Amino acid sequence: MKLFHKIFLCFVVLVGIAFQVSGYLLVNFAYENVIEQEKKYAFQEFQHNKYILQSILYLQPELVVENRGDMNLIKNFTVPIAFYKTDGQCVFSDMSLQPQISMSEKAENYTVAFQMLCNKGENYIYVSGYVRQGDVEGYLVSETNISGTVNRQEDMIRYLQKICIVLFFLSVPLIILLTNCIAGPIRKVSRATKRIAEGRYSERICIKGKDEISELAADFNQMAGQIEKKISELSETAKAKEEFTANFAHELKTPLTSVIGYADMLYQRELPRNQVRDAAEYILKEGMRLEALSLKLMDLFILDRQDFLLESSSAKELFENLKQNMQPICSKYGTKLHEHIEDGYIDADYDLFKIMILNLIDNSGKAEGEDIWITGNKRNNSYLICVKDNGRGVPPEELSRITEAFYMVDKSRSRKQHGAGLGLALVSKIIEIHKAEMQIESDGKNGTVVKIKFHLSERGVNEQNI
Amino acid sequence: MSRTYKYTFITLFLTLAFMVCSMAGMNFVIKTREKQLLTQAGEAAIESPVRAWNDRECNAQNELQEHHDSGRYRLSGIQIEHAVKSWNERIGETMHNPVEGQVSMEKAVKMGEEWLAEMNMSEGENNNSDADFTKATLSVGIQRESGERLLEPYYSFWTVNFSSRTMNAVLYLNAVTGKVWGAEIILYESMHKEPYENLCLFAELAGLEVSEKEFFQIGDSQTEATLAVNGGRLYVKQQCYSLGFNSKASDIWEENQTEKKYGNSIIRYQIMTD
Repeated sequence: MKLFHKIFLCFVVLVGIAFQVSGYLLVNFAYENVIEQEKKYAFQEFQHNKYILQSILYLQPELVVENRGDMNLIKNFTVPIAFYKTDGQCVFSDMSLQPQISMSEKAENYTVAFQMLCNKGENYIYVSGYVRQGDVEGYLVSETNISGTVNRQEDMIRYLQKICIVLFFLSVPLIILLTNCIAGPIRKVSRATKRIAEGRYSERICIKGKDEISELAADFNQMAGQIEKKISELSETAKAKEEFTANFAHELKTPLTSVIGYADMLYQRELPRNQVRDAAEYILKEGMRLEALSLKLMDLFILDRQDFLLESSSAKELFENLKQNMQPICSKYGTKLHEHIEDGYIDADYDLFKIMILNLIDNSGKAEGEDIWITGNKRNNSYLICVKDNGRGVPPEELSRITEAFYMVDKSRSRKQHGAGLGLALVSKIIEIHKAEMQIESDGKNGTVVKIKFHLSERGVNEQNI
Repeated sequence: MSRTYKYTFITLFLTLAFMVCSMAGMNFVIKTREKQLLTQAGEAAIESPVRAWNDRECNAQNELQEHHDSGRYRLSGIQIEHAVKSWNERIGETMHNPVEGQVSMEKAVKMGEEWLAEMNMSEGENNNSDADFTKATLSVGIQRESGERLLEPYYSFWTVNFSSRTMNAVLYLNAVTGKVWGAEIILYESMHKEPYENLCLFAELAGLEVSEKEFFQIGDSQTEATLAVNGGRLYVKQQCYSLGFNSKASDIWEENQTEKKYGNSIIRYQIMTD
C-alpha cells in the first residue's frame, strides 16, 4: 500500500473519531442538561399539584377521610396524578401507569422520589412525595410527560448524524489535498531517483521549505552530485584506459608487423648477405624497442599497484649515487651533463627517484641538445630540481599532452630512438607518488626546462630553521 | 498500475466501512446512554431557594404586631423595597415549601380572606367576603440574573386564589409578613367605593406608611391612581379596567348566563418601586 493511501486512511480515521467523539460528547451534554431541566420542571409540577391537593384537602378533607375520590377533582390538577393513603390505598388516580416508586416513610418535605419510565412509546417522569394537610396525610404521585423533549433530542441526534455524514464527505477532498502535500514531495524524490537510475545524473530535486522532506531532498541532491562526479571520474578513467590499451596495441602492432614482415622475407627467400643483415638489424632494433616498451610498461604497472615508503634522503647524496647511471646515458647521446645540487632533504624512494631522473635525462638526450643542466635548490619549504636542455624543445601546443602514455611529439624519430612514449608518463606517475609538482616549459625551439618541486622533509625543514 | 488501483479501491472501501461502522457504533452508544438517562430512579432533595428566618436576624425594631395578631415579623423599608422589586421584576416563579419564618398555607388563606373582607369586595350590607378559597401556592420570583445564593425568606410570596359569584381574586401575600402586597380582582358587580379610597386602604392593609402629605395622582382616563408611601420610596397603584363586549358577544353572554349577573371590572393593586 502506498504512503498516500496509508496517510489518507490515518487522516480519515482521525477525523472520523474526532467527529464521532465530539458528536457524542455534545449529544450527551445536551441530553443530560435537558433531562435535568425536565426533572426540575417535574419537581415544580409536583410541588404545584401538591399545593393544589393541599388546597383541596383544606376545603374538603372528607374526600380522603371518607375515601371519596371524586374524579371531578382530578381536573383541578395540571398533570395526571395519583394520591395514596399512608397504608398504600389509592384514593384517586388518573395516571396511565402505576409506577413502583419506593420511598422512605414520612420522608422530609424536601425529599421526593422520582422514576423515569417509558410506556407505549411515551416517556414520563413520576414524582412521589409525602403530603400532609391537617389530619390528612398520604403520598402524591405526579406524572409528567417528557416525550416531546425526548423526540426533539432524537431529532437532534438524527440531524447531527446527517451533519457528520456531510462533513465527512466534505472533508475527504481536504484530506486528499493534505495527503498530497505530504506524499507529493516524496513522489518527487522517487521520480528523481528513477531518472538518475536511468542515467540522467544531472537530475536534481527542487523542493522549498525547511521540513524533513526538504532536508531529504537537499541530502539527495548532494548524493546525486557526488554520484555524478564519481561517474564522471570513472568515465574518464575508463576512457583513459581504453586509449591506453588502444595505443599499446598500436605500439605493439607496429613493430611486430615489420618484424613479421622481415622474418617472413628471411624465411621465404634466399637473400644476399647484406639484405639479410639489414633485415636482421631491423628485427633487432624493433625487438629492443619492444623490450624497452615492455620494461616501461612493467614499471608503470608496478607504480600503480604498489605502496611506496618514502624516506628522508639528502638530494646531494641521491644525485651522487645517480652519477654513474647518468653519465652513460649522456655519453650515448653525446651530451654534456652539468650538475649543481644544493643540499637538502626530501622524502623520496631511491629507485623511483632514479627512474625519474634517468628518464628525464634520456628525454633530454633524445632532444639532441649539446648540454644538459641539472640543478637542485632549496626554496622556502620546498626543494626545486630543474632539468634543462638545449635540444629541439617541445612545441607549446603539445606540452599539455606529453605526459600521456604512448604520446610522442614526433613518432618516427621516437621509434627510431627506441622510444615508446612512456617515459614522461612514468615520470608523471613517480612525481604523483612523491606528492611533488612538475612543470614543463619549452618554446619548441630552444630546449626544454623541466622543474620538479619536492616538499622538504621534516629533517630538511628543521635544518633550514636552524 | 493495476496494483495502485487495487489499493485505491481498498482504501475507499475501508474509508466507507469505517464511516458506516463508526456511525453505527456512535448510534449504539448514544442509544445506550439515552436508555440510561430515561430510566433513572431515585430520591432527590428539593432544595429551598430561600433560607430559614430566625430570631437573631430580626432587627431591633421588630415587634409582634398586636393589631393583626399575625405573630409575624416587621420588615424594614429596604427589605420591603427589595422584596417588592424582586417580585415585580420576576421572569418566572419557583415553588417551594414554607421555611421557618414564613406563614403557613392556612394562615395565608385566612389572611387573604380577611383582606377581602376589609376591602369589601362584594356588594352587600356586610363587608364580609363570601369568596371561596381555591388554591394557594408559595413561590419566589426568578430574576434575569439570578445567582446561586439562598434568598431571604421575605422574597417569597403566597399566591392565593379566591372565587365567588361576585368576584375572582388572585392575592399576593408576602410570606414573612402575611400582608397582601398585590392583587388582581375581577369584579362581576360594581364596587361602591371610589378607587382612591380603596387605594389608601390597600396601602394601610399592606402595612405601608401613608405620609400625611399625600401624593396622589389620577390618570387621564381616571382608571389609574398612584399613592406615594414610605416617604416616597414606594408607590401603591390601583388600576381599574372595564371589560367591554361587542354586541354579538354580549348577546351570547346574556343568553348563557344563569341567575348570576356578571359585572365587568378588573382591579389591580400593586406596590411599585422607583
